[in-house]
Amino acid sequence: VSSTRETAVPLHQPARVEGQRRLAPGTYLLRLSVPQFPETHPGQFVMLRVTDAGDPLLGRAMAVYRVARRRGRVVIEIVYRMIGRGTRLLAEAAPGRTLWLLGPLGRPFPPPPAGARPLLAGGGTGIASLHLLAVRLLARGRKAKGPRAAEALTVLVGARTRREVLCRADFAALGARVLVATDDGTQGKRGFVTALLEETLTEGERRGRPTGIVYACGPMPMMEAAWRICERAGVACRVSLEGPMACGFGVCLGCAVPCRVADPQAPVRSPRDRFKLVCTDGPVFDASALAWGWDSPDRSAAAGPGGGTPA
Amino acid sequence: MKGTPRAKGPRRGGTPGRTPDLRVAIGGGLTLRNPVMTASGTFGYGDEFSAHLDLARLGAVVVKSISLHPRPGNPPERLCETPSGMINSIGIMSVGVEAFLREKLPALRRHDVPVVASVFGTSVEEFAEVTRRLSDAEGIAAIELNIGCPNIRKAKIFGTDLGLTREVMEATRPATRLPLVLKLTPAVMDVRPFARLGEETGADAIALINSIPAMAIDVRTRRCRVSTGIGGLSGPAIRPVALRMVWEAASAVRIPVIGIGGIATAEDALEFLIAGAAAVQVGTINFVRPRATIEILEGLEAFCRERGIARICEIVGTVRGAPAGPEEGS
Repeated sequence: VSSTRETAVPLHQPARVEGQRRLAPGTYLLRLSVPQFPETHPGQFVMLRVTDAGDPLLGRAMAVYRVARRRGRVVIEIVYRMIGRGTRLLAEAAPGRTLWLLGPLGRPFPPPPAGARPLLAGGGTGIASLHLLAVRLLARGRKAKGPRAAEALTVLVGARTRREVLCRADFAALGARVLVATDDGTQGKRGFVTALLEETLTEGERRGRPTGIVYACGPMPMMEAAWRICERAGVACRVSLEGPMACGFGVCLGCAVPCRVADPQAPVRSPRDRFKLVCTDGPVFDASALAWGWDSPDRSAAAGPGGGTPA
Repeated sequence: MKGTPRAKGPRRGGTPGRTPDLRVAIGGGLTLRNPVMTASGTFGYGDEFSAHLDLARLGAVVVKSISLHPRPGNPPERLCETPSGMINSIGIMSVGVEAFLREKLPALRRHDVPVVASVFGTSVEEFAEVTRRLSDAEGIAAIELNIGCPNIRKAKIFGTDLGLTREVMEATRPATRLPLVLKLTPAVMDVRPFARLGEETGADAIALINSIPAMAIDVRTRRCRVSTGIGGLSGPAIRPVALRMVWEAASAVRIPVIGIGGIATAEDALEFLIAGAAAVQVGTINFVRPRATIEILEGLEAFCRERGIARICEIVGTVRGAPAGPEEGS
């Protein structure tokens, strides 16, 4: 994890589809390649556009799952769920097809404070946003503490059902301890991943291995619940948000999220006192700095994973 | 209609292959190096795009609308995608005029490009006050009045009322010696009376169209997809409507008209110029293709070169087959 907040200038360029693999019903791993790509930090995202013809007009914000150099090109992997017309067209993109890619975008996950044991919690495709972070944390841990460092990282993977549990093997291959929760109990713990989070925090406390910071990504209600659990436990919580965005670089102002304001009556000195932009202030936020609940329950429940992001 | 139909093909005085003169006059003595401007609210304060393009190549940068005091803007959801377009309800998220002058303008001035300041007010006085403060500062080439923002609850849309539009013009015209551009909303039965009013009250140019008031509903929740219920539609979807209105405005006034609405390619920009626009503003496509303005500029230059058009202003208002005497609406 980069210790500074400085990130490279994003590139807008055509990207070649190398292949796609179905990970679960309606969920795919997309492999793209480009001649060059600036260094990508955990938590950063790209804007991906399927068409050049204007419909669908906007790019889709997608977390970077993995980046690797291969045969003189940079291969970028993305995990996405098919939730609308744009992602359906994306799922139809065959190898060799050209897509438009803008990135890397957004501010990365800050590294954990010294000595703070990290815990990762992902719900649905949200887990994909945490993969690069796991790679970095384990690389850091190994350097600092040797091969047993993997034990220092626990990853919680939540899904509705067994068939939808994503990326479990990839996290395990990194050497992380992976725990699963499914809503229907068909794999791992029965229930929401946030219940598993609460349990894991308590267990860590009891065993004298307390968690210092939680990184969560998933549907809005999941992240809000994770934040409440962390708040009660006195553990820092970082979340990676989605938002409906047209540009990804701070000009459309569509992806604003309200910040926690001490005195709502106080005069607004800057728009950023009240709203932060998911694209350029985030997508990673300190959960305690946000005014949770801006998405009313009926809206978020129906929107499901992906929230209001153009699909 | 201004301009008479002419024969196709190369014009007299133009030689195919020669570098065309892309300069355009947009009123008030202001000449731009080319007709490609950015539309307010789609280009930030300019500097955000400097990673993608050389701002100095643009005709002008029109910045995000500036209000007197900082404004946080509307709560989420602020944006949704629609067929070939999008609906926004940002609600003027503005740093305010002081912070603009202190922080944003100096960064933009480092690029050698004319800066057009878009002014937003919730009252007639606010329009005049912001205009006055901007005019006192160094480095602003023109003022554009945003009287047609569709997303401010409890505030009037000045631009849908001839009386209020007159009040805004009569208050702001004496407040500045800079070229003054009146930007019209399409949310009226007929744009021509508004364009003429602008001309009468001292506007140096008319710009149109602002986004079109529009709605989208999530059928699963039955909720409107932007938090204010109604937002502004923009993008290629609105282009034919915008083009018709630009043609109408250009046929109604003698001052320059600046065409805006869904322009994504050089061909789109040419349509507006031929319909009578002296210049164009490129908006929503900047979100999607950050270099769209430059691509359009290069396309315009190539078009002129191929056709032997020596000066791009020659094609302005040369539309053929449009109705001769447009019927006036209500």
